[in-house]
Amino acid sequence: MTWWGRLLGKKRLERQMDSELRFHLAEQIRAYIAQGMSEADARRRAHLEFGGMEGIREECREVRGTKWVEDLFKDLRYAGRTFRNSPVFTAVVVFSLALGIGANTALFSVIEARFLRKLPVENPDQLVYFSWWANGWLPQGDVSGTFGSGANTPFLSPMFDAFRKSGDPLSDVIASGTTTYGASAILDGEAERVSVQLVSGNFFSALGTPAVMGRTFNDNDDRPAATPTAMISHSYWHNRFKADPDVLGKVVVVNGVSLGIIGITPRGFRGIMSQAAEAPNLWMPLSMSQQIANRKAEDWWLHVVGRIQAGTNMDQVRGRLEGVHRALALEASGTVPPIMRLNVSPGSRGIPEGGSDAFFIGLIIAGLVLGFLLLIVCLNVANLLLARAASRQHEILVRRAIGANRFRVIRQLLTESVLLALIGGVLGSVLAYWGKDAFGLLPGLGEEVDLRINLGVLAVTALVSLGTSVVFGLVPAVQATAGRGGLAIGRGVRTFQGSDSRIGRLLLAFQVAMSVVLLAGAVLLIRMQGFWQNVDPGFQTNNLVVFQISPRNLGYEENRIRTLLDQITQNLAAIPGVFSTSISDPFFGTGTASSETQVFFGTANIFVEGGTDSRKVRIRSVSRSFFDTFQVPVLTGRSFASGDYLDDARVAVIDETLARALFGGSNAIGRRIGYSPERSDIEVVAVVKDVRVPGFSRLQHPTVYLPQLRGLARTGQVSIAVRTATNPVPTISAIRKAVAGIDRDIPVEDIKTIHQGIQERLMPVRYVIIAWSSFGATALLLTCIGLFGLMSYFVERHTKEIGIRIALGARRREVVRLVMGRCLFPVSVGLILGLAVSWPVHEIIRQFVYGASLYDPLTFGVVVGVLFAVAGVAGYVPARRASRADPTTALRQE
Amino acid sequence: MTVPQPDLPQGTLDMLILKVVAAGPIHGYAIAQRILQISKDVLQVRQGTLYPALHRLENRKLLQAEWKATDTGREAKVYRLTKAGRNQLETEAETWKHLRTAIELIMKTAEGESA
Repeated sequence: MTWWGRLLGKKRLERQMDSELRFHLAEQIRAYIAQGMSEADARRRAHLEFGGMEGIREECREVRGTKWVEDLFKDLRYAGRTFRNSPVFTAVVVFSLALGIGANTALFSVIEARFLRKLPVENPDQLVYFSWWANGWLPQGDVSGTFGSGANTPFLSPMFDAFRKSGDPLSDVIASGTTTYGASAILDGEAERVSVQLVSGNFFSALGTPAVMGRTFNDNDDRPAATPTAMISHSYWHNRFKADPDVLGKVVVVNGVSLGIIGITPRGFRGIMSQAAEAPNLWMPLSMSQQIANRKAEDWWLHVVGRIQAGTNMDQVRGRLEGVHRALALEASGTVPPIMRLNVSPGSRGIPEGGSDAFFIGLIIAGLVLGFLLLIVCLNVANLLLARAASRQHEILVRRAIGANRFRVIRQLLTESVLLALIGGVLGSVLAYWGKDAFGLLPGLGEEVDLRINLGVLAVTALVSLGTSVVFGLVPAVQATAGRGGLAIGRGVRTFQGSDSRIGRLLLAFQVAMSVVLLAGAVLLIRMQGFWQNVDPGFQTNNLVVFQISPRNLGYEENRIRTLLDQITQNLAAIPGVFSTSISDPFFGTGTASSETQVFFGTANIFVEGGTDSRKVRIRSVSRSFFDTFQVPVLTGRSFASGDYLDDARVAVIDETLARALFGGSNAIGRRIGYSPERSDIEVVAVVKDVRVPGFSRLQHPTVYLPQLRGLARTGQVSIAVRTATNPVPTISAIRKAVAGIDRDIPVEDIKTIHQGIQERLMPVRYVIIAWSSFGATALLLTCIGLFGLMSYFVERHTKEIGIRIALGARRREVVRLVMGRCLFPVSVGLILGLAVSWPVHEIIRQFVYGASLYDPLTFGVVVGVLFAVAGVAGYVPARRASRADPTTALRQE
Repeated sequence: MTVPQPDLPQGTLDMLILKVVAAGPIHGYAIAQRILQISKDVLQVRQGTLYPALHRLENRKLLQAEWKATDTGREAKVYRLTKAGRNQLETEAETWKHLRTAIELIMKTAEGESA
């Protein structure tokens, strides 16, 4: 009979075994009777000799080799019964595990898909990208990307040509770059701003990326005389063209050039920059660089990727090209620094981008939070299992006493632990599956990304959970089965001085610490939001509309832009209900634009004349009417006058924070500042009230306002603000008409009220607050349950001692105090530990969010208060139960 | 009974059972009786050892069992040697013979030298 036959035919085998044994007995009795015994004597003798029937049966069953399966089912049934008897315990453990596994897996799956996955191209492992290092060197010409050092240092187009011609071991070299000032497209008579990537003719063929419709570029499209062509990205095709199948052959006018659409790039294809980047709307050949992208020969703007045979030494490539790189840099700029290195790095994941690191750091913070949560989950599960171990010890000793061997008891507990972890794991996978889609719905995260559960992360989190569950699930087995074995059913009197549950208290302290970190973060973020509601933005936010235009894209030269802006502001002023208009750099923008000698907008370091200390400031270029339109009060001095704009006079308006920081209490008017200590020739003419825009931003620096309209005109985008008498929303269409009245090809970009702009800026903050608060609340809940479990465990262990104390006349209040003291100690330790750990975490938050501080009394008080309140409740319930104990029952319980 | 009951090693018991069954189909009780009888009341195989051993040999396909009515009219589980069982018996008997000779040799020689 096979093993399976024996397992499945168990009933029949049992029956046969019984009749075989009975037959043996009957034969024996018959034999004794034949020897002359009476039937009763024969029967008694035979039974005596035969011994314990059950023991023999058990040994016969053992021989079948199916016993472990039968035991397993028994264990599972027993585990099921245990779970049913303590549904709260089971639910909490399973839910904790599911949450830890699910949330972590979901988030890391999204991060992997968005940031860590290889490019969706042919053999991505063969790709390398080029970058270079020359610290502090500034060449001539415009630069896009980070310069001098970093991963996305750009190249001159002659460098790309030279690399491409270098041949072996590079089988292909491709390049892509973007426009200097963005691009404006006219489609079906409507103007809009679009993002554009210009790529070499061999770009798609070298990457092995086909077009989903139409064709990709070839070298013929990338010739100066070629008919202008463009490809569109899959998302642009869907969003802008509603996936129109007849889109091929349509003409799109970009920055004044008509291009025929020849193909659509695949879904999720984002080019050679890291996958964190958004796919551009339009692709076009490098041959368009002058006409459309405003690129000149001396501009550093191309990102270059090569394909080599896997295993080729990258130093070999570097060595061949470094000299060429240096020679071309010298040719273009006249000088090169003494040390200039060319780097060749693995490019399977694309070229890392500097710009998206804030977003990436946000995700890292979220990952840290989830890591904390997983840790809390494990600590909690450990604690609950430890607590339950106490109540199970008696049961286990009884089982041992009636004959269960040690191995069998351990296996039973192991089965329970594994089963708990398994259920938690299955639920966690379901949660992860939903969770990744939920995370994917966040803007900018899941767009055109194939989200898949990351099995590695799932396995790791599941194993961590399983490990915790198994290790701590076995504690009662080890405690109960070590040493004397099955006979010691009676429990001794344990005293409060005992060292038992030391692990439990330690775990609890850690858990409290973790909860404090999350809780403090949550309270901090929630408070900050309240802070933003009340923060004085420093200007009148009602009835104010802003929008952007990019006339440079349409070929407007500097002087014509000045005229254009004048015309537009005149037209806007003529709209009924418009009070005033002003021009500045993009109001909600975070970019920086600068030339060798001045910063048009963005961040810069400012020195005081004669001083050596610098301050990081936000530079804004504004028109004369800016302070009127935004209603920013001028505290001292004079606002900009028209004379300041004639030749961009070296004058500045600074805000009160900067005035205080640079000049202390002394008068700022007439003092000089600048970008270096030697060239501090900008005179401060006024101090204005601080303007604060809430949101995630490292750019919340004090502000310097400069009258650089001419300089601003040289940059791509200009922001126009319009103040109205009443609700500005109805005037928006009039504003569009006013702009179209000057030049109907200029798109009015991103028009919105200041209120809408602020809400948009707060959106990511809201996500973080929601996520962090819910994690904080979950952590607190878990800690509370853990605390409750530990206290119940403690009370149960000490029932006898409590009984004796009460019998000896201890008052109930004293018992409560005794137990509570025991509970609050690890909580206090955890609290102190947690606040210590919180400090660096909040330093990180402060980097991103203006106005945050953990160390104000309210935040601090709320954290401590909430924690002690929760700890108090969790500890008081078992403490009270202990004090209610009837001394006689407590003593008899043993 | 003053002679101590020797405890048979499992392998040896298996061999004895195979040997007894080799004589012809036989049920469990009779196997125990045969061993007792042949060994002149020295080897008493207890039920707690006999039946697990029989079942083990059956699972290893060295024995084959069927239910047959005995002369008393009761159904008994009767064991028969399989081909594999016969081979196993031959190997084990061979091994046993070698082992016995070797052990006897040592016992005798060692005794002679120490004397």
